[in-house]
Amino acid sequence: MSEQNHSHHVIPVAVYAKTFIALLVLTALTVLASRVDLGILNTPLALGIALVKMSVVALFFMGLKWDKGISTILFVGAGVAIFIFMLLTFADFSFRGDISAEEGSTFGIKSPVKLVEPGALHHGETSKGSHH
Amino acid sequence: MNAQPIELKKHEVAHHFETAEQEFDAAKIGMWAFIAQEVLFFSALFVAYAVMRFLHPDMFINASSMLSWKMGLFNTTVLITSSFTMVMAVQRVQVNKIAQSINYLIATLGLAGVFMVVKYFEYTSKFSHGIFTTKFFVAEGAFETLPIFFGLYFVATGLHGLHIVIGMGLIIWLILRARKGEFHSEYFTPVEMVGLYWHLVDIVWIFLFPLLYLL
Repeated sequence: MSEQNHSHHVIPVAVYAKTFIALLVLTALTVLASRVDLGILNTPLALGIALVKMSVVALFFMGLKWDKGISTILFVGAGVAIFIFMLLTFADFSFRGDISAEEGSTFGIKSPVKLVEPGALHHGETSKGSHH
Repeated sequence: MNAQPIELKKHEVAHHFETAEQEFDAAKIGMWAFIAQEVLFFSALFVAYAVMRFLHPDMFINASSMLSWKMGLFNTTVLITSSFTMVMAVQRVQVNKIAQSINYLIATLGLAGVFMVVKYFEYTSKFSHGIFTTKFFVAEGAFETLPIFFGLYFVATGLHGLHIVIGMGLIIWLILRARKGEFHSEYFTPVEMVGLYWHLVDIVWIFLFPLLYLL
């Protein structure tokens, strides 16, 4: 057998166990953060925690921390592409009202929703705490 | 699980590669390019979510309260645990503990199954209330734009669920090959690559969970 396959060293189990625990703690934090009403800050906080969780998974479970740079370039490159995607899309529709008289209309699509008062029915959880 | 120890088979490096290391690196670059493509694939849904949420903020808050965050949290924990068992399956094969590696793969497969069962109950509970995608939506609601949220919900979680099912198929394939002794410390490329795929599916869920269930 070729001995040249040994360039990657084996990561100790403890590293993966700690990563696992960190992810569970961050998951609990995500839920707790959403139960507190921070107004406009709830969304950036939830996304921030999700980004940290993603980084933890990518660095340790996916091994980017020990991997060759090309893997990180490909992964981060996809992230940059999403940023451009978001930027151009928002730049487009944020200013559409300025030129279109149809702003706010439903463009002739008949809604299938049987309208009721907000809060009159709950298919999931009965209280969300933060949003009422 | 097997009474007899697994007999390990020597891996033949494909003729177009100089060394096993070169073969492994080529596979890894290919896998990361595929992962980048997967990220872009899901990004369309996230951009659609951002635009629709920007246009209908009150409807999104109302709609996400119609989902059970407890089921979402349970499934998040299941997926994170399955990512851990997957990375352990890779680690065990790297130190030639093949039987342990197979057990971790079976655990990952079981957790993926649990995820899909919970997803099944979530979907059927929505269907029973008449909550479907877009024009098929027949439920009562406080906003006439509700089908937009549930369209995104079903397409995003549906495509994610499809990735889980494909991953389950790949893990079964790994288990069958590992039992034949094809993976060991000198050759574990497919185990590592399926592992990377599995972690990516976990990452997608890490974003879907707060966006759909919590915010």
